[in-house]
Amino acid sequence: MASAGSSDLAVEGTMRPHARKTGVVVEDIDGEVLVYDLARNQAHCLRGITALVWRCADGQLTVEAIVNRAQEDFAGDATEDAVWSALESLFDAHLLVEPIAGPSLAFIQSRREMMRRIVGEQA
Amino acid sequence: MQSSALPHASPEWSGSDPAVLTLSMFGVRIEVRVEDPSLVERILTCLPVGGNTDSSARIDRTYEILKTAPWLSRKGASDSPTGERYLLADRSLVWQSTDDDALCSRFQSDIELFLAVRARTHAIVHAGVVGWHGRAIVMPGRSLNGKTTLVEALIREGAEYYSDEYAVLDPNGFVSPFPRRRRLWIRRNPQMRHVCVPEDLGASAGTTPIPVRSIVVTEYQPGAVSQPRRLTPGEAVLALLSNAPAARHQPGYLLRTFGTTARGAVTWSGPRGDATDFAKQLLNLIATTLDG
Repeated sequence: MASAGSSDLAVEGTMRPHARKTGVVVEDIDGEVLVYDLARNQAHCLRGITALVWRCADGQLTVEAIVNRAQEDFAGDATEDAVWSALESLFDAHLLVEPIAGPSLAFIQSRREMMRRIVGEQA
Repeated sequence: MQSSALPHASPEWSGSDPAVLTLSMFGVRIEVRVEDPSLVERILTCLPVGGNTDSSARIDRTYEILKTAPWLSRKGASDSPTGERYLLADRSLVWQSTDDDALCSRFQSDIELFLAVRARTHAIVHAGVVGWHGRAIVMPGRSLNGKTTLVEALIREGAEYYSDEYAVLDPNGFVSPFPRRRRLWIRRNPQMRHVCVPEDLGASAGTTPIPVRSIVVTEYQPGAVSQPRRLTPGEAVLALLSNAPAARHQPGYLLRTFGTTARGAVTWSGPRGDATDFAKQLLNLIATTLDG
């Protein structure tokens, strides 16, 4: 089973997440970001760190830089895990241009792979 | 702050045979062709009240109410021998029936929904609306979620009736009554509903736009103990959007309009039990939270 070691984390920190800015309608409301996905006809309300990550994810800033930006705005609440969690949420909502593999995503993917193998062996 | 009031006029009837009625409302122009002149007065009662007759605007939808099946009329056939009438929207059959009440009811629902979807000057939401001390309480929700029952309970507590079907929101965060002839469908028991007007319940009906002060996202659940929680403005916008027929057609306009509405209001959410108890609780909540 693959694991996210310290070297993986270093690589992941240099990734440059890119939020979808086309095919969506965006409206800011009192610090919240409302995103309407025109393709899926789904609306999302982004708050707190997730809203900040959405704003920062321009394909230029690294995850590490976004974590630093989040820590400036949210102090102790803005852990690296929280930023990765926000990226996962954005990915799940189809709001990232392309998938980004963070520590927990890698874990989820490896867990899915493990389940596939278990099921495969039992079949 | 000024709010854009709804236009006031009557649908125009050209007096021709078949009758051609035209209606412009919310930036949408509709034409209704009625083949049987004896049905015109009845059809007029189904149309939204107000509107203007801007004949320069292009027609967004044409309704036809025919005595002859459209697929037979092309072959020169006469009226339906069974007395059926046919409702068409832009040449597509919507409904056919020998029951004029059913046909008119379907026509009214269809035209109201079309206006809700295509409105250009206002954002229209499935919602009950009452006025309370000059401000509006808006309760978004689909049909059969208990909106009318809650509206009835609130007006029995002294609120002013605005709507039990649609809220008409303008870009300034004001709400107007939906321009239909006022009526309430009061449920007497699960099998029977009774139609009445707000005045029958001792209520007055609001006619002017008022600012939205509270948004209440609730649904009847038997035995529920109401403990409404506050929603953020963003969550309030999502709640309004999920009840807006036009969400897919003009999301940007709706997000902006609902954003303005939600900024000026306090939003609560949660299931409710008995409507009368909840109405009292809600008005008390508004008094202690917003008026206090």
